[in-house]
Amino acid sequence: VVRPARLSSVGAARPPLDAAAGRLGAAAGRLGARLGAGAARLGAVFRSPLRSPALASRLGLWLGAAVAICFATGLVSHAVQHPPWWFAWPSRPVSLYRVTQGLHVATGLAAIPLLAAKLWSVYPRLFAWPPLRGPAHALERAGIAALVAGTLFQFGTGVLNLARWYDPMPFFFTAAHYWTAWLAAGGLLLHIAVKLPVIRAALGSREEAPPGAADGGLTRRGLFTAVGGAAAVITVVTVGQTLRPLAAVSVLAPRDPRVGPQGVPVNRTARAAGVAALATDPGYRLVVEGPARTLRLSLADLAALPQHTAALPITCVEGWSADAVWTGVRVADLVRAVGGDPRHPVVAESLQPAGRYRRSELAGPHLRDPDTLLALRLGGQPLHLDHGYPCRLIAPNRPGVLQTKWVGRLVVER
Amino acid sequence: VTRRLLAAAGVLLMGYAVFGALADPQARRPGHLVFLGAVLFAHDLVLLPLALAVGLLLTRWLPAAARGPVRGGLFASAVVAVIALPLAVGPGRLAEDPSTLPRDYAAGLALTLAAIWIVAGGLAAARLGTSPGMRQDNYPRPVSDPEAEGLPEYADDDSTARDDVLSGREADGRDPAALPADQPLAVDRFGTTAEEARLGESLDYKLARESSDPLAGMARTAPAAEPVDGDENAALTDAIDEIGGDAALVADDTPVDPHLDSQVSMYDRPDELTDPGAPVGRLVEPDEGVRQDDEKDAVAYDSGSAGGGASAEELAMHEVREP
Repeated sequence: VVRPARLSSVGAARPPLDAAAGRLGAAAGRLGARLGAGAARLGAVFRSPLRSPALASRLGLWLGAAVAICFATGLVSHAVQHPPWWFAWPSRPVSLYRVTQGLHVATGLAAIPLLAAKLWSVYPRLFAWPPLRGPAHALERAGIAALVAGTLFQFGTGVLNLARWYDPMPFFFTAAHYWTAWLAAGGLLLHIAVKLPVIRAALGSREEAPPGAADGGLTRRGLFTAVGGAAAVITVVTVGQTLRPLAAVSVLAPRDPRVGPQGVPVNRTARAAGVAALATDPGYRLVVEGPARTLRLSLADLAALPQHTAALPITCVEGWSADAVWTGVRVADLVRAVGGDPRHPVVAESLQPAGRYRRSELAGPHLRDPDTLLALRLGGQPLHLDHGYPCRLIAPNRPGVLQTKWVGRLVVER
Repeated sequence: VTRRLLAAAGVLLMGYAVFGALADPQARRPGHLVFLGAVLFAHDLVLLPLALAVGLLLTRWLPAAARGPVRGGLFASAVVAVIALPLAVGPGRLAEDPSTLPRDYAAGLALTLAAIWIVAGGLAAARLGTSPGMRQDNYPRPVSDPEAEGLPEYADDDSTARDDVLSGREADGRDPAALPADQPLAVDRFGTTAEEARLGESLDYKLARESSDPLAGMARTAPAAEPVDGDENAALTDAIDEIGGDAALVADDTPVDPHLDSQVSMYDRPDELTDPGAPVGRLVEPDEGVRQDDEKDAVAYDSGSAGGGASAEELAMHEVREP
């Protein structure tokens, strides 16, 4: 309210310059005052007594924990797929990746009500007036904008990815999801740094919860119940995509671990990959290139090699997983057969002519693991075309995108 | 120090995100920034205000006790819908692959919402039932109904003008005494006096009691309202004919001179129609309304003021000379 007077006096102080500028200044001042009054009125609209630093801090604590889980498991998944030099991922326990990635998706979904409630609890601050009080305040608000946008981006793109709906996303989901995670994490750290005294005061004091909305709306406990209940409902209706016992009640799960060719879901079909003709060609030969020799094995040759059976889950980065029993040739046996050393990585190339995941590198503990197979059979039956017929890679504790299907070449590096 | 370290780490990570995204050929897309801005705008300025408005509108007319659970239910429904709608309306389902999005997600959403609202509705109902000051029983048992229990013609005195005040009968508890009606019923039956009890009721009386009494019925039921005739003029003409064709008298619309000294009504005009005659006292039948009536004509004697307290009807009685 003080601002218009000052601004108009500034305008009036320069009569020789231009009278119009002065009028403009006065008009801007009036506009500012009007906006300020409007914001104040708008602020009066939000009169829920529930909104308080105590509520925001408690919700923030839970949301922060959920974001931390998502961030950590997401980084693990990223590192497994694009391992930096310092990163080692074990092949045991077999279901470790299944747990981390299942947790990533389930936590993200369950945190959506937390995010909604958290943003609601601080919503009036969006209309705080004056909008910027100085450079520090501007920086803080910019950080908040980045944090909120980044978090909404992560949850929004995650949900769209689960629904396999890529049209609204004008970018490559995986890369954008990865880099925005760093943005949101940085914004969160900055936000915690700024709000630390408020959080400490709010969580430290044992202040009485407000008695609830004057109009009989939710109490604080009621709000927590609603948020927790919503998170529980979301979890129950979706987590069945990886927890088989809950598959029947998970009516909104994007996958059903019981549904698919041979009872196992498929992420990329042979038709989508464009390999149907190549894979069913009777002249198919698996090329195994090694330092000593190169083998060209037909399907019959592969079947004649010593067969091994392993019960391994197929785990998708999208959060679903399914148990399956695979039978095939040990990759380590093939590597030795061409004179390779299982300490050096092996590259598996798919028959599919193109695609982001047509090749994958198998190295370290996964290559040496006796359960790492070039699978020919699934559940005792020859592989379904959509599962990678004639043969596919299956290794313990690995993301599904790396379990290359329709393998055409194995290159053993020397 | 902790705050500075945290802030520095935060800024560092955000910077890493920006530079990393710019350096990554797979991530360098303007659409990324557009989407970031779009989700911020869509949530803060569209979705959240819309949710607040809808929540306020939908719960505004609810009883206060039900608002909390209903708002909680609306909240849960909204977040579940956020997850389910892309599955239900999105193009993710593939005809060639039955394992991608294998379920009917619209039905799943409906089922989930139904579960949410069963819980929210149950909570709201429980709150309504136990909240103080609220009616706890939507079908309160009325106090005993003497008529239903076979007592005819009692005074139904259960209603008062103000619902929050108990009527006399209700104040008596669950089973109040049945109040007698205005008209005597059993007192004028045969056999209430010693002589009648000694004589015993004759067969004629017994038979008469079996048949309903047309006179009593007429006395008790209010005369049915005249059916309103559409043709008001016809009714008026009939009334004029009845009076004797003196249309001027009927059409007389001069203001009524308040007849303030009249004992009956300020509107009566005794001198115009009839001679008021001498006032008549209370008329009493020979049986005095309680004894055996062996007089077949309707006769009565004037008992004068008979202790006073004359009703308006009694005061309106006049002696009329027959034309």
